[in-house]
Amino acid sequence: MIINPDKPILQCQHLRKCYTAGVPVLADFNISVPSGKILGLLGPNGCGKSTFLKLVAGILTPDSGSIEICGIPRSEETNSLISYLPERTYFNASMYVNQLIEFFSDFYSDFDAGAAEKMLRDLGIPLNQKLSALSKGMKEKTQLIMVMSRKTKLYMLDEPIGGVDPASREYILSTILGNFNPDAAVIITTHLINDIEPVLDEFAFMGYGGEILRAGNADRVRETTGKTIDELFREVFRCYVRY
Amino acid sequence: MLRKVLKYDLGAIWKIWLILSATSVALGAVGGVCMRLVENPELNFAFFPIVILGLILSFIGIIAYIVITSILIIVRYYNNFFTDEAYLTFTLPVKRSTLFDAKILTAFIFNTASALVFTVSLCLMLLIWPGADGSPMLFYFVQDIKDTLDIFSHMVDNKIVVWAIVYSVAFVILMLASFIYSTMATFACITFGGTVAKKHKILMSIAVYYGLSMALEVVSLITSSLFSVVVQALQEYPEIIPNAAIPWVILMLLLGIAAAIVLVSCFFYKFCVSKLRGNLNLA
Repeated sequence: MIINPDKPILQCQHLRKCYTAGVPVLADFNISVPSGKILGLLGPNGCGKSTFLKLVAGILTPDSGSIEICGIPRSEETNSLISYLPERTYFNASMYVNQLIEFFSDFYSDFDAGAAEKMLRDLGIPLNQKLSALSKGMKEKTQLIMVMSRKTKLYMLDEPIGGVDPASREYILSTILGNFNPDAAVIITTHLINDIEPVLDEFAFMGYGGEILRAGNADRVRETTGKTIDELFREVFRCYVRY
Repeated sequence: MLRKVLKYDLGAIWKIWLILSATSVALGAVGGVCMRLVENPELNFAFFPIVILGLILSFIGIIAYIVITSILIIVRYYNNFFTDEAYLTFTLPVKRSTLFDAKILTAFIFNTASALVFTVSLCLMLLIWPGADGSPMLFYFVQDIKDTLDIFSHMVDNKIVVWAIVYSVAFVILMLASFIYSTMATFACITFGGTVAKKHKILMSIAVYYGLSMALEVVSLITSSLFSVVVQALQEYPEIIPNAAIPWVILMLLLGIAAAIVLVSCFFYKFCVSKLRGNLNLA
């Protein structure tokens, strides 16, 4: 697999996906994510944020359009370039935490088992515990740690801190930043904009059908408008309804 | 990568399978002891119902062992590919055909091992179960097989060794083909249900499996009717096929059935891999 360094980490063109015939969740979605950026993909419920991430991860197949990761068309082979965290608990509950580390080490050559163990210990997650015995929040933390312990090109985090207590959020966000490699890119979707705002480089407000209503550099927008991304989000989506 | 996927697929089932296997062998022994007690004229009549119950439960348990093994394989397939676990499975840097191949190999390994354990359990039962002269019942069964082979040897002009080997090979091929078919058909039904249904995936899978079984029954009914017609015609007009050719005709028939089964299985394989590649329908 030859990675083209001149190409953006992720490029999607004319992406279309319908769950029900004639009702597109994404109608004509275009996005380009360069390396070295943390992008916040923000939008109301049902606007297609998770669907978009699933399409890129290969969980869903687009009806039409193209997805390229580092210039390579999406396929089973590009899975090694993506580290995806879905918005649900998706590990086999009968596995132990240390088995999970072994599993990731087996399948991902870029997985840093030492870093994962350190982060798990920092967050008080016992390695010899079964996943089924962990609380929902602990499971989510474990998942996030596994995903962020890889040294890959594209990280996609779907609601990464939704079920995590506020005290741990700070640690997790600093972990995201700490593990961030300037050759990589991160896409985060969440409703907790206030919490993730400090880590965002770029943002994109996504409307229904995958329409990008507003996008740009987070710092620049804050400077020019005098508003936080959270305030801007509330302003844009206050009277926004599905048509 | 196949080796790695296989490692985790086998690892997920083997512990519970080992416990089930040990239980099956133990039930074989219990069944044999029950038969020994039933044959014992000095057994107190009050214990008779308990012994019979023990015998029935042993048989049911040994048969259930095979069924439970199959269920374990099916549940693993469904969970890995069509529940939330699929988010991990399908984001691994592994080809989907490799993921599917690992599931087939897992099914093959566990089903073959279960068939062996099942045979051992039954043999143990027959070894403990005494025959009329007190020697184990297993010896009678071995004698019966020998007698059958003797009868067969007269039918095929004493070329018994050659034909026994040929037919054994043909039966092994047929058994393998049947195994491949049953695994593929089951996986294909689950894949169909899992990719087509939005909510009730398990119900859809069961319905498809039921429909497929019905269709198969119709096909086997037509085939067996045709076969009876052919046999009847051969009896009425023996000059059509000379006696010496009959073993060859039966052999060709067996191999033909095996080839047809493999062909259908290949279709199911293609169907499953293409659905897993392009039609995942995860929530």
